[in-house]
Amino acid sequence: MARMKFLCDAERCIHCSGCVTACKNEHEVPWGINRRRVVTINDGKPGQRSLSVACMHCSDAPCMAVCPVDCFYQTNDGIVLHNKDLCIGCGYCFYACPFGAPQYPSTGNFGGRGKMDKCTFCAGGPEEDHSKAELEKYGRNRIAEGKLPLCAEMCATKALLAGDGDMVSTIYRERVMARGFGSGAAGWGHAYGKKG
Amino acid sequence: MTERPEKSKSVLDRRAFLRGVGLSAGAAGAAAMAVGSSNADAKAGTESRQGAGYRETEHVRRAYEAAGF
Repeated sequence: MARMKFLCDAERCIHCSGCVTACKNEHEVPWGINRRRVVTINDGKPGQRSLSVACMHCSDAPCMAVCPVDCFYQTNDGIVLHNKDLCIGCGYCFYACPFGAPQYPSTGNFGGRGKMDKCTFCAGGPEEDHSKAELEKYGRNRIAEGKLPLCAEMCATKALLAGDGDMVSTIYRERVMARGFGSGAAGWGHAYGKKG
Repeated sequence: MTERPEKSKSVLDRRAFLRGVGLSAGAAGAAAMAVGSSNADAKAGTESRQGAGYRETEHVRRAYEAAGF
């Protein structure tokens, strides 16, 4: 069984934000929400790098552990998805996530945030595949179409890798063999543990 | 002696109030159980929904090849 993973190769990321734009356009993400964003680490210092960050679909996902209404579930491919019909917008997942992935569409009275939104690994949600409800709530389901997340497919320098964890690590290993370790696979320890 | 009927009335009011609180607490408990069971049903529904899932199609193989440059 394949295990879906993201990997951002910071040695290649040029901070073009093509992944962010691709994601927003593909899923028609509302104003104020970026499921993926590019961050700068060691800003202005030697070793400055850019990293594309979104939900890493962790093996032992902290968001799943803290959700008071159990709206999260993990697919057989290891993709962490959530049910917006159950979400109460409490924000616990936001505080638990080490990557800041959960986003909220609004700020209303009495601290209301609306339903949480996050990267779905382009795998839709609990609604029927390719249905109107799925598109409106979670975005397009490219995994069901036999494709990979658009952010990774669109990445001009192929800094962002997505797909079967074995394939992703094979590709990354070949790069490391050719050029050296560099800044390493950011976030993998947090997301997938030592064994992955 | 004029105070006595008023006192008994206030006692009765208090008893009615407490009875009402007891009943409403019971109703709230029943409602919470009903909500809990509907959440459990919904959860069971989402957990069983896996969708088509990942397949290594020609498109995916080409994407891996492109990423390997």
